[in-house]
Amino acid sequence: MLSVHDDARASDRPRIAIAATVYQQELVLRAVALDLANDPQWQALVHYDARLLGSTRSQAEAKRFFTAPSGQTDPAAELAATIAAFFELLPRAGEDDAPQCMFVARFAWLDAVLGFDPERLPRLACPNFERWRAGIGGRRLTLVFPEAFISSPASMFGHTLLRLDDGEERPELLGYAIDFSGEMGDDGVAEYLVKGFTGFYPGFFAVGPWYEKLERYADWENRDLWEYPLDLDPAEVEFIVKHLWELRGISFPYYFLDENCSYQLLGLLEVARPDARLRDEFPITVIPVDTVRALAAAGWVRDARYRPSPATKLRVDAAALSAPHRRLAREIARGLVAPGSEEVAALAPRERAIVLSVAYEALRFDFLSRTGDDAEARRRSRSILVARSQVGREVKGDPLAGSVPVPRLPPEQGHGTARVSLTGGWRDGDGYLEAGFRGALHDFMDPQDGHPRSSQVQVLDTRVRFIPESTHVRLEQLTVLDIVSLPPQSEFFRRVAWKASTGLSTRLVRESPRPAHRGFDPEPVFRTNGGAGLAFELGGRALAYGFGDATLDAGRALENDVSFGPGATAGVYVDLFADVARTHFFGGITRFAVGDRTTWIRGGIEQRVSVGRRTALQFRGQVNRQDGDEWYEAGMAASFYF
Amino acid sequence: MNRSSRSVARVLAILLVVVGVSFGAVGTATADDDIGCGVGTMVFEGKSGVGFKILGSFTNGITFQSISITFGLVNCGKSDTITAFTGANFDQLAANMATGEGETLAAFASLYDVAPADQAVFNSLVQDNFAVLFPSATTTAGEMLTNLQQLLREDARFRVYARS
Repeated sequence: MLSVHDDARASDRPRIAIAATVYQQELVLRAVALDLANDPQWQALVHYDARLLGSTRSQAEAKRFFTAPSGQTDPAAELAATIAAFFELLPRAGEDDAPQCMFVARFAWLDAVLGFDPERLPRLACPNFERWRAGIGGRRLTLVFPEAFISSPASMFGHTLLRLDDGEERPELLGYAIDFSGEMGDDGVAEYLVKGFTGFYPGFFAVGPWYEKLERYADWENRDLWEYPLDLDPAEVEFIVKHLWELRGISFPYYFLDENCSYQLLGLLEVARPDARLRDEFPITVIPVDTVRALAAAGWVRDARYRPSPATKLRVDAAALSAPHRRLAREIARGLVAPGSEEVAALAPRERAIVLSVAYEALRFDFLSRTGDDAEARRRSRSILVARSQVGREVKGDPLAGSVPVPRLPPEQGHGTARVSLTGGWRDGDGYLEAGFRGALHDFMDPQDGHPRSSQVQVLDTRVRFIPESTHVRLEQLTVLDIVSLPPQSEFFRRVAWKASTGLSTRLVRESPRPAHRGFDPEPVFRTNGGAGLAFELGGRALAYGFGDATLDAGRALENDVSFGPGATAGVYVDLFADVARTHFFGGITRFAVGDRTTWIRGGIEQRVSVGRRTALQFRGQVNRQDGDEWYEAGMAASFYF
Repeated sequence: MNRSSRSVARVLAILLVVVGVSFGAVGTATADDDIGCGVGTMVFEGKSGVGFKILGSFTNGITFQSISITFGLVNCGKSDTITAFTGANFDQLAANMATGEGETLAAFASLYDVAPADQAVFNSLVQDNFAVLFPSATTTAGEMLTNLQQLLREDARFRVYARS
């Protein structure tokens, strides 16, 4: 017995189908004549990968994204099948919408190019799409860049997402966030890294309330946000939103390095301007800030807006207080002084408003840093806010509104992600020439503007040295990953500084007595180092730190092939003339106690001078003492960022 | 059944499926039912006080709308949207109300369709009555909204904004 579905189809077919088939063939022929399958617009809509040489393949993984069985690899077949599918009046099995209402952007474009005759190709009403479309609105898109957050591997290089606004009438906070992210489930960091690098995770586009994203990035992760309104006209935004509907529930492979959030976001934007070919600039890796640069270079970005996180605001607002007021705010936050006390009441109204506001900011920040509920914190926060509201009779508005100055440079104008350097120097009596390449991203001796103030992330820092005297070339260093976090301590911020690094390094090893030899030989070791400590800001121009750490070296030149031990490092970075020059004084001691045993003490100075935006000169000098003997090294380098 | 009623029946059956299987919360749809809404009371169970939230995970792996594009809040009626917004932004809203100014408060006022000319007075009203809106440390979002309703009804100028 035929099901209702088949029965209806069969009886409909004689009357409607023939006419449809004829017109359908006509449309397909016209599409072929115009070579629409190879049109950049079609390629962008079906996400055919423009990077693979030879064969074409769509990056979308879900079968339902294609109307043709061979749609993933055959743009022409997909185009013909899509046109045919538009004639279907009802949803396919498992779908909520007929193909016309699923592929609204494809329909809109093909209609514009081929001019569908509504008599011969009935236009369906698409209530699901229309309702969704009316709900999220959308006349303006803004690219949002939360700055790098080194506590999470996924966020270490920043992130990009979009916000959809509906013009002047709807406040930003009621807008919708659009982003692409991988479904990682509950995987831990190690699994995340492995699966993320190999494209094991599926990624999806998602739309949600903007305020949820804002709270997560700004409040929970303490990240400053940069917002870039995109220079798209309403019709282009409309088309992007239509395409977003087509991407509902469609998975793409998520590759941490290249086809990640920022890459796919560019893919979404490219459907509005397929000739822009933004992603062509990213053959290997995609670092989020570089996609912002690409959009700026292509003229999509009008200007940058800065939104400080509550943590940044607290830091600035607290620093602006006089010392007694700062102490008072801290004590109110800790519940040592009641907001309604005489001490607070004695303040002038404006001071009182500010002190109470800072106290609340501090309390909230402190609480967000801990997990769990706290009845005492709730009680305290309410009493602070009640007191603050009472000052409203005397002080109108918020004296602290807009208190955070905009950083000198937005992220896309900071130094480039990759760095090439040439060094000439001298170590332990031997002169050397060194060429270096660092894949990403930033260290404390690079120009600081446009980058997070207190962290350093380096990936694939490679140095090759040539020693003329012995015509010897060696791989001096290949740092796989090096991360340092130096959050400055203050009364309101008590965070631990930490560092972790691993990679190939060079260690000077004392060789067994060889009469002609000077005493030390540089040998390769695989070095892993980790530590914790504290950092302090001094007078706004200097950042001092101290670490306790442990170092593990592995290498054949070492006794027992291994060397491990605790150590300590300390230093201070001093800034001169804004970001033009930075000096670093440092010292350290490592007591290798296991395996190859030795004590290595060092101290030195580094100096960087910026020359324009893309170039810097560096000097480094270091004194070392090991096993009772000393050696010295010094070098001058020129670095180029791109 | 003849051909056309079969088609109608089929379309209706599909619509019912769409209503039933909506993204986001299911089941507690409010009386002015929009498909897929159901945010209403569910979101704020267990949360109280000038709120502090439990920290979430730190990886970008958390997607807020797990599989796909949300139907959710898009289809909610005004009341549910206000409730959802208030609950999700509770502490920011409280802080703004205490200060008498701020982005969250402005967005909240726009959800109440407060006219631009009335904005400043609305801000002052909530600031002056902060202790009434948040009578205790465990005031919930729903309770605050109820208190606000009462406040608006009692004010001649703002009575028009009070929602039933």
